[in-house]
Amino acid sequence: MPQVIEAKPIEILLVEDNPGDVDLTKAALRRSKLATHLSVARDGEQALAMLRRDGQHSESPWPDMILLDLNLPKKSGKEVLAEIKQDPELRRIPVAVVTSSQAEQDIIRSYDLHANCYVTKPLDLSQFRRVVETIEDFWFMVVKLPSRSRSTAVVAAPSD
Amino acid sequence: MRSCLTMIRLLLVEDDVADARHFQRALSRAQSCSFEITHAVSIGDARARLGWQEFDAVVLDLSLPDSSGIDTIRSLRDAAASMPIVILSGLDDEAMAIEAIREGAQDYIVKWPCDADMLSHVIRHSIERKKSERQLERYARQLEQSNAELEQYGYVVSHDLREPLRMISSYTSLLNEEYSAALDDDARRYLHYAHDGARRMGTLIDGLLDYSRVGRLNAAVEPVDLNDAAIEVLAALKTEIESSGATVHVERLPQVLGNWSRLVQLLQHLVDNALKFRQESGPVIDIACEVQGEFCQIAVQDNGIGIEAQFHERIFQMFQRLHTRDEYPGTGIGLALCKKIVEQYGGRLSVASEPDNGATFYFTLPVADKKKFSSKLERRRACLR
Repeated sequence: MPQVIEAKPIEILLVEDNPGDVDLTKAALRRSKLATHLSVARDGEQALAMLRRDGQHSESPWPDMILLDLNLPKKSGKEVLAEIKQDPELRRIPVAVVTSSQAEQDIIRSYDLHANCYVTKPLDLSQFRRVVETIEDFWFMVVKLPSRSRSTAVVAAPSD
Repeated sequence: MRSCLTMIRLLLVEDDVADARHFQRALSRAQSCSFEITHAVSIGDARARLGWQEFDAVVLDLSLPDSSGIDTIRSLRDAAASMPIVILSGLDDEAMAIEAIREGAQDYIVKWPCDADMLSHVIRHSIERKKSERQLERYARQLEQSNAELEQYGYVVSHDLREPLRMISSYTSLLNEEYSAALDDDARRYLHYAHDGARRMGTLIDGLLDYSRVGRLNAAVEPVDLNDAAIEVLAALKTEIESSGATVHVERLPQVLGNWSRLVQLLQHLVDNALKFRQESGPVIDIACEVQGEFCQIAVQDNGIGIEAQFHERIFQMFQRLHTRDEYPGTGIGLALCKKIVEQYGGRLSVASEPDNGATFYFTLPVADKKKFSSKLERRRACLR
């Protein structure tokens, strides 16, 4: 009996506290030719709980990509970024910092904390859609993503 | 009779007893003021007294047992930070006394003979001068701080205004799209006004942000070849140049000291204005330069609508627009930003213009390597002969 391979939708975790931006992202993704599923965390702590599948988030899907706003309540976006990129399991998930800040220090710091890319939210709706489309094109069509399985855990470096 | 301090407290730092006595006797004869003189015989002694006594001025001999020459004033300068220092110098020490003034002394008195009133005058004048100096320093510090705060404020304001603006802009667009069927012409027009308002505000914020960045971010200063900058500008404005049928002449330009992107921005804005404020006939733009010593003056001349003399200063101020938005688009920040850029590098920006007779914008910038440039000119002239 041949295996039926179901194409699973691409899992995206959006960490964003502004509901206006959440809706905009959802609306932009709806136009996509790719099947995507969006999970939303309203702040850094919730995001990390979802990623670690803590407590009520035990069923949270493993994201193929994280869209991270910097301007978050309680835990700042940069702190969340740092925690993700220092975690041996979570760090392989590509993180796109998507923020309104164009500040040089924010850009530099994000890359220092190993953000995979830094994107500024444009003023105009059509430009915003273009940005989301471009992220999808690049990260989901051009780029090879690591496999989703959590059990493949940490890959030891040769020197270890 | 001129008024003066009732009592001036002097610290006399002089190890030669005869000289000290001579000085004290001379001052006691001064008509307009009385002096209370404390005598120290070494730097160490002077510093100790400065620690626990108040003085209005210090009179200092430069050669002392525990210090000599310029070191003397240097070692006392910090201990007597708020007080004027007057040097007592010997006849053959005048050069050193002048050096001492460069190091912070207010004045010097050549030893003997000296008139009592002249001595008194020198000391009192030094006290007043020191007071003004310190006041100026205070103002300068306050200004610096307030400048830094304002620039920071401008940056924070324009940065934080972006997000709510994005919401207005994006959602008026979404409303227009998704509820198109429910909207009549009036509703669509209202949405358009809202959306356009947001767009214009965005441009304004970008301009403000840009303006606040000049000077705040210490963009590297380096030699910039203005010919390359001109090429970049003409490439960037290619569409406008072609669609307006413009002719642009660029003379050979020098290398200047500044920041590449800021100078491209400056030149681009001036050329863009020249194209924008054109007359019916095709715009003709000339970019020329004239070296004036360590600076060069670049002129961007056009044959456009010109500017009335009464507005020649206003146009460089923030948000000053001379035309309605329908006539000519613009935020009113551009020339203010250009002025800030030019002044950042030590130059000046000005305009010469008459209505209907075009405008020439002049800006000066420091030449990067005068010798290299004038020898280039020489070689070019030689080729042309």
